[in-house]
Amino acid sequence: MTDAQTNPNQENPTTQEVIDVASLQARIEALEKEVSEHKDAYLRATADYKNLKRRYDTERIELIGRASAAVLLKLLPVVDDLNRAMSSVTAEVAGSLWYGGFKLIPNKLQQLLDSEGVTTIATVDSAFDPNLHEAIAYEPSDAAHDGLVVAELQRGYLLRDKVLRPAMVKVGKAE
Amino acid sequence: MAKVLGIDLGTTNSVIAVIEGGEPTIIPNAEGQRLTPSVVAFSKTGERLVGQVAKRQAVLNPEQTVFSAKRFMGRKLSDATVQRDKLMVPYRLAAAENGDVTVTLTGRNYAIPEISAMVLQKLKLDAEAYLGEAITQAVITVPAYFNDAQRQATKDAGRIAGLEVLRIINEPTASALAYGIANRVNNQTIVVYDMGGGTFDVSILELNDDVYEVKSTNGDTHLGGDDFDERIVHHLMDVFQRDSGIDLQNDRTALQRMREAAEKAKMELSSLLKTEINLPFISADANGPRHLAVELSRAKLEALTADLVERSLTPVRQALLDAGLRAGEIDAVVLVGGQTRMPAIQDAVRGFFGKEPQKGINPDEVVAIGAAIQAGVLAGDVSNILLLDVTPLTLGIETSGGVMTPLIPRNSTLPTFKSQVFSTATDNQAAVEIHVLQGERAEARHNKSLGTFVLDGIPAAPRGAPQIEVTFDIDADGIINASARDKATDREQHITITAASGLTQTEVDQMVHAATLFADEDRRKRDVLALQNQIDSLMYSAQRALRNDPTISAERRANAEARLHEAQQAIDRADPVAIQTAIVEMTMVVHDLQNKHRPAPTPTSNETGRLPVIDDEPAVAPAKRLSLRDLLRRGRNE
Repeated sequence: MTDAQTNPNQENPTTQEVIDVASLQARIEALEKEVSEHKDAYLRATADYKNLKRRYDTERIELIGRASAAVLLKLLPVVDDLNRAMSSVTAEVAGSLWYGGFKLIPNKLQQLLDSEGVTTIATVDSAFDPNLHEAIAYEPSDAAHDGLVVAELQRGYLLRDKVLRPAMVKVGKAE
Repeated sequence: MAKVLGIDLGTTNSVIAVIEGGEPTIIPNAEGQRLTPSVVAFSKTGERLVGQVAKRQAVLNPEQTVFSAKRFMGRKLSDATVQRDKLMVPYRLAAAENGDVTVTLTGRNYAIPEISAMVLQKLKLDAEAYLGEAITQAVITVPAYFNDAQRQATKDAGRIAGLEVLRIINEPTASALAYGIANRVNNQTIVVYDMGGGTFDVSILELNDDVYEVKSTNGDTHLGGDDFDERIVHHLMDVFQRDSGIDLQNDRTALQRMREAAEKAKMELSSLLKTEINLPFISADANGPRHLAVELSRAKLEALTADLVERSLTPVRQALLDAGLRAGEIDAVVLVGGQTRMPAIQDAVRGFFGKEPQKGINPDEVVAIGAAIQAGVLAGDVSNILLLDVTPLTLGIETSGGVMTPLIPRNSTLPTFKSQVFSTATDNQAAVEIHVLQGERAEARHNKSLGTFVLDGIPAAPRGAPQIEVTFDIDADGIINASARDKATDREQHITITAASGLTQTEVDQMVHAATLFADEDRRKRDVLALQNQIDSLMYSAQRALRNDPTISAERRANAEARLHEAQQAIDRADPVAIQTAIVEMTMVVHDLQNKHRPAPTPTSNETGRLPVIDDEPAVAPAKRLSLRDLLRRGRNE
């Protein structure tokens, strides 16, 4: 006679232990999964932060370098208009005392641009480069001038090594 | 932990975004721009150009510069819309073997997905450069009316560009996602009004259990911001012709300048009532140079474009009809596309639907942001988005004078933690009461009380001496653990508050709004309180000196009493200017009284010796008002 027959109310200790271990095992697995999810989320958040900080630091340096770009860009249309005015001066106006003073103004503006690191984009007779020039129109030309800038319609500028505003040009096109 | 890119592949411009730190962020392209023109070109030298550079040589190379490729995506050459749009583009289209539209460039036929893939590839490379990591997966948006073939073609474009397209989502759905409409009430009907540079789309969506169903779409494929610009340009040309007799229609440079100035003026008139279009030396005739200077008012602009705005409402009406809905039944209206910044458009939409349209996010970037959110969900970043909660209102404690001292500012991301050291208000104060408050007002009584607890057993000490560290610890679920610890004895008491103490979003908004309304008044009160506390200290010192020093002459005593009386009056009137004057007077009185004060040589005197005014420790608490050093009020056991 076995224990179970003589004493049916007594639980079999071995079975109970097995059950307990199994449920504990399941709990451990669930916890391990949770831990790994948390770890993953934490690592992501840390990585994001590190990346953001790295980018922030780089961008800040860049920003300081190009802080003046936005204002200079706004100034350019005024420079353009001054240049247009200068290029349409008649002999009569040129002889006036007033003009003698006025023509000093564009020079001053140019000096300001120079001191900020703004340079002019080479246009006429250069090869057309969409990185530097914006083609507004083309002009029939001979083979020699095909793809070359034949006229500058609006000056373009570089701020140190980056394009501040592309030049508006007319390009030769061989038919 | 690879990021999934959200891409708005637009007809005119494309935008990319990604989730970073739980927030959608627009990624600028290599040129530093947030918008990339959806233009591809093969230059004369065989170089492949994408984006702004491609646009710059379009005039020279019209047949090899492809723009608006999206109009032909997933379509057959024989389609009616293709035949119509074909006439408006200078590049040559041909049919593939299966009838699909192809573009003929440098002698070879390119499938439309191949063309768009070139744009996507540039976007992918620029994103990788910006983020510093490889991108292999993306979510791309398409118009809600795109059919299966068009969606598949878009997916193909992604694949060709080296991107696994995890999902194609509808542009209006992306917009709704961006505005977080998903997080709110169910069964919402949303209208998305999308007017960009060249096209106008209206979509009606219904949100059910996180699923967006497109009820209807409509639009005008040739109505956009460019049309508004053109109206201004025509107006300028008319005025100029009338004044100078010169027709600028054929002057390329003048047209270019006018177009740029027109767009700039249009944008300015969204916030200004009038602006000036100023183009000197626009042309020349026999008499000399000619200039254009035209003042344009918002009213004039609206008059010039009223029919365009009205025209946009026709597809809206049709879409409602198709969805079987009335304008009043719409729960939310979302504005997308740069042109929707125009007040006339916002007014028209508001008037039509009878509700304020959602427009807080940059309308050019809304769709990309929505795509990034969807991308983030698919990438598993959803945990970041969902769990990052914020405290809606500032949390703090009450300090002397009934003031709210903030500890954790509103909109702080949770979980968060803040510790600050406070002290006692009175001598021998044995207990402090920590009254936890929530709100933006300066006075404690105007804020919401979350709970109170007491820390007792503070050993006898002069006021201001004990160091009570008050800590607020809020977990990710918003549960606040407020504790106070006496650093000397290490005795601690704390209270747990569930932050969701019934404040609805409306209540929060009201409280924040009230705070801004009362900001000035609160600040004034705070300033008065600070002054009152200052005068208190001084009065106290003066009174103490008068009480304890028998050597003060009757004359000086009378003078001091008179100043004290004046000071009290100033306090009673709560007049900041009078209190300021009283402070100056009292400072002199105290200085005078103290200088005559000699340290008692005999041991019978219980004076503590010469100390600077502020640190004079009285044995008795000040009479009426609680001073600012009096930080934790209502100490027990006195």
